[in-house]
Amino acid sequence: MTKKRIFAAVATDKETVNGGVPIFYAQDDEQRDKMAGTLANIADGMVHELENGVMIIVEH
Amino acid sequence: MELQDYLLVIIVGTLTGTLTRIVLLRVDYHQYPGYPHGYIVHLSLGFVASALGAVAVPALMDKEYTAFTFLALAAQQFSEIRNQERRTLESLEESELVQRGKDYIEGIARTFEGRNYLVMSTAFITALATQLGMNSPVGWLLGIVVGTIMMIISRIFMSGKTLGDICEVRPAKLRFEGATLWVDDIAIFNVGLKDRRKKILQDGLAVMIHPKDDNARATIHDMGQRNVIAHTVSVILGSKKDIDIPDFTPILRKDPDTGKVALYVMPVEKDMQALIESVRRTPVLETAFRKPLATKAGRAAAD
Repeated sequence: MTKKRIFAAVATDKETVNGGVPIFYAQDDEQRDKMAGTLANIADGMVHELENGVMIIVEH
Repeated sequence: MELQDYLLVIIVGTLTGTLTRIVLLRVDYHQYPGYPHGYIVHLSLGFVASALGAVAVPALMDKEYTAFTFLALAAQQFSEIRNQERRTLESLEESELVQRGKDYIEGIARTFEGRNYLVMSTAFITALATQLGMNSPVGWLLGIVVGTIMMIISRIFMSGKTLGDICEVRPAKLRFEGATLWVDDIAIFNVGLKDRRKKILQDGLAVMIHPKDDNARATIHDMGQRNVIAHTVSVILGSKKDIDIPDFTPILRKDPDTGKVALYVMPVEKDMQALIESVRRTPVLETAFRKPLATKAGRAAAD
């Protein structure tokens, strides 16, 4: 099976995410989407949304 | 027996064997081999195998029974072919975007080994028939007749099942619930970016693969088999996946309750009919083919 790894998290609300992965904060949802897309491009990863407004970039 | 007669026996046997190899060598839904040197390798080996099979008959006639042992040598060579095929495909695999998977590679390698045995036995039986024919009023034409029959048998014997034989493939609908992509009632995966979701709904296709019985259900339960479906579809219809767009990877997920499998693809050619056809023509892996219904417990569990 392939190994998966969370590469980064992007959020607007500082309360929603903290911990061991690189975290990027955006000003609004639009900027968050853009940052997540760029990060995914850099890491060849995929953007997933955890329904609470946090986006994670996962290397599949 | 004249030397010339033996020569005729060997030639008819070898030719039929080589012809069988040519008949069995074609680019189909396996998409392999697909380049001239691949053909040359397999045709040459087929020629060698059929020559070995054909030569065995004169050796027998001359009571050179020890000569028969070189067939064992041939068997060793053929298993080397399997290794060589596996190595080739495995090294190609690294650069495949939608990979064949280990199971498929093993299946292809085994097929190539098996076909050489088939070619060798075709050559042997044909040569034997030619020899017997020459000792009877029928003449060496008996060899040609038997050779043709052997070729037809090989062709039927060696074409395995396809997915369409064991499953029904029906069109399905893609939809999003929040960020989760669904194919009918099976969740596929989570797509974070809004424009990717739009793109998937616009260009994506989905089918539902319904197993016809419990045997089929066990077969498409196999991850290797599902890999083969994804690979075949991507080769035939193209795939929009690239190294930095993993969202467009074809994915197959099963319904744990019914065993039906949903397929999501982002084809370059958006053609539902072609998609269904290429799923139906996907080869069923020998290693994935299961028969729980052949056992008593399996039949008891089925009702």
